[in-house]
Amino acid sequence: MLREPMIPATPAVISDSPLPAAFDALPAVALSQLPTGARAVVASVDLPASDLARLEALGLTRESEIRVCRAGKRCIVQVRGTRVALSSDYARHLYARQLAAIGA
Amino acid sequence: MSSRGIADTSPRDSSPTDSASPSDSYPASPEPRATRVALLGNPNTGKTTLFNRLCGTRAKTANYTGITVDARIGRMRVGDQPIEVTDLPGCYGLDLESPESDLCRAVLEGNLARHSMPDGAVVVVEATNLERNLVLALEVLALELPTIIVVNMMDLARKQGLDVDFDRLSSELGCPVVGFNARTGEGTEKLFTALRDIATGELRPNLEHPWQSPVASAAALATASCQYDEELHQKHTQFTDKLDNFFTHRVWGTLTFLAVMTGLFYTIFSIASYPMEWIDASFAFAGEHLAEWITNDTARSFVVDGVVGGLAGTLVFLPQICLLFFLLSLLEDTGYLARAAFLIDGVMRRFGLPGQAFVPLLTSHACALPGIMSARLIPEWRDRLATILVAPFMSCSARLPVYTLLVGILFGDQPLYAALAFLGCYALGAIVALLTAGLLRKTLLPGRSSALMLELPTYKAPSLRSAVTTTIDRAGIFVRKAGTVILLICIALWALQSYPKPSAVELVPAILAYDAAEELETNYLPQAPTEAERTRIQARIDEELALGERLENQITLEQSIAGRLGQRLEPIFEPIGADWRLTIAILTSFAAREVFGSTLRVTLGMEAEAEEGVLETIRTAERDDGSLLFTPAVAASLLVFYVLAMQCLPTLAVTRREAGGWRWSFFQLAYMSLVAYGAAFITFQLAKLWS
Repeated sequence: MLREPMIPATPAVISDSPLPAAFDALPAVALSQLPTGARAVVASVDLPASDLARLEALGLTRESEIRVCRAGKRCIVQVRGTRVALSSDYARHLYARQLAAIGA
Repeated sequence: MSSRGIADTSPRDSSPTDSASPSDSYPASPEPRATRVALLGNPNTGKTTLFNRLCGTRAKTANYTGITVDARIGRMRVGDQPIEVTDLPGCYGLDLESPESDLCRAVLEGNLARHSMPDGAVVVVEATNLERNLVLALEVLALELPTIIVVNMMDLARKQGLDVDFDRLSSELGCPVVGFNARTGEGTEKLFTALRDIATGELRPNLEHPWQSPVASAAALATASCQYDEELHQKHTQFTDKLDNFFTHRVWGTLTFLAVMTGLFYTIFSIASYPMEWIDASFAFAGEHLAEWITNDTARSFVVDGVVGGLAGTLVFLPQICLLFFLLSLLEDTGYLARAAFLIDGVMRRFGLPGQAFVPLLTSHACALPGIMSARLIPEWRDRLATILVAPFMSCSARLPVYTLLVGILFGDQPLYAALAFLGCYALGAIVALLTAGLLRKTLLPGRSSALMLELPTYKAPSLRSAVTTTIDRAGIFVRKAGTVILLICIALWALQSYPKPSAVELVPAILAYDAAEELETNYLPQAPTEAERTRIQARIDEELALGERLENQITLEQSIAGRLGQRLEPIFEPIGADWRLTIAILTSFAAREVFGSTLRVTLGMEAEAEEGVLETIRTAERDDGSLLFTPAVAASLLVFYVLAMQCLPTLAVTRREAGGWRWSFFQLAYMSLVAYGAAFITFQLAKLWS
């Protein structure tokens, strides 16, 4: 039976690459500003609780790893195997730290 | 696992006494009590395809008091054991603020009035997306129900280079995990065995559920049980990226969208017209024969004009509805519709509607009924309701005969102006619909359209079986729920237009014409000296008979409740240019706008089905005071009225069904009628000033 210790420690990223300790100090940018192909980790979400629940249901939680499939004010990201289309209302209020920026 | 004792699950196994009530519906027979199983899953996991495979198409819609989302109930057998499967709406989690989530939790916890907990649950997860799908599975397992996890779409997973270790997953979750392909039926036997274990009580709930964080646990479980062929997986991801970029590209995506929608629209228009004609012809044939058999005038009129006419008016819409849902189901299955919604979302949201609203609104140009029914694609309730309420503003095909008549009166000999007027009608309907949607979102349905946060499903070949099942399901709902209401009101309208019957004195003009025909036939026809003279007299007889019939119809309508109401209500419609005859035509076309022309012909004393010279006769028709009936101002005013007025009874019935109550239907009727009247009034007054 699976036990709690099996659950990845924070941050729960999909990537095998361990994140540097200074990761938290990096500036987070809105998803709408990330380029196509960028891999990033969701840092914070500036949205009401009801939206947070919807985001979480689609796998877009804090510290989840995303890949930008289509960049822009409205964007498509891949998270936990799911492709999610986000309107600008969401894309500009979800902040992430780009993994490439730290060489991850 | 063994497959012994597993019977087939063809629909014939379903009990004819199935009830919509999941708990207290079992007949008092020696048959064992049906095991009740809830079927859950995220959207786009193929859950309904699995349900259709298990239970066939004889599913019924569950009736949960006060719940606006649908669940379906079907029956199957595993060996001798009947199993009742409740297909719950797709949801991402049990604790979300959504009607789907609320219903799933309430059913699983047995919190609905008169409905106890199910005996077990089947959670469908998508093989290519275990990490997210397992979140719901873990939430269900935490409820301590005997649970089966079905890992669906294994064929797609293999194509993407993904392999799932079912044994590992099963041992980690503490419940059976079945690899499945709902299209081919792969995994069916294992699923049946697990279902039988629920029925016999052999499958016990997992009481050890140490998953404090379902999201993180699902990620860990997915990582532990999935193995990727990296190269194949990478290739697939890149291919999907390319398709996504193309379908959501501002230029290519828009062009593709226009092409797909035009194709959809054209197919519905062109193909559905054949069965619609057949249905029309069949009912006309049936009506003619019934009219010959029934000797009593009242009974004949009731059966032919009331019942057969009402049935024809309902069923004639079926081909469009079936075709639309068949094609939409195929399109949705491919994964394209979600991309199209993303593409068009920006435009729609300016008017308070979500991207998904384009399908209902576009479809409503063919017919508002399938348009309103397809609003189910819209997940958020307020967005869906706003779309339903404005959809009938779109110019549907039933408006075309009215447009043709009124535009013909206005610009009969100016084809360019006539074409522009037609275009203007379509534009006016669409603009008023979008403005109304914006207004609704600021008043009755406050708040912006919910921002787009949409899962883009995996691209895949569509399932014909699923499309057929969806089509049958939707057609059934239309015929059962809307059709019965439409038929009843059609009969009521027939009565209003037929009673009270005119007295013999009132019918004198018609009787005189019949008498003249009889006299010609009795006294003159037998004595005709030549064949030419005989033919001439016969033609006169036919003319007199036709005149008698026209006058009889005209007098009957004028003396009926509807006719008298038209004359009484003339002052209300006078400000938009209508006299009492036009008022009758407006009132009788309340049920179906396309009868405006035929009623007008009756009130003007023409043959209802006459085609030749109609326009000229209507154009030169005069009012009681000798002035022209159809001045340009009157024609323009009525044209605007018919662009914007509801004038469609089936739409009222379908809105009631889809919006969840008559109050929305009545609101829609009142709002559209007021807008139509107001716009027609302004048009008439301005046009009068201009001319």
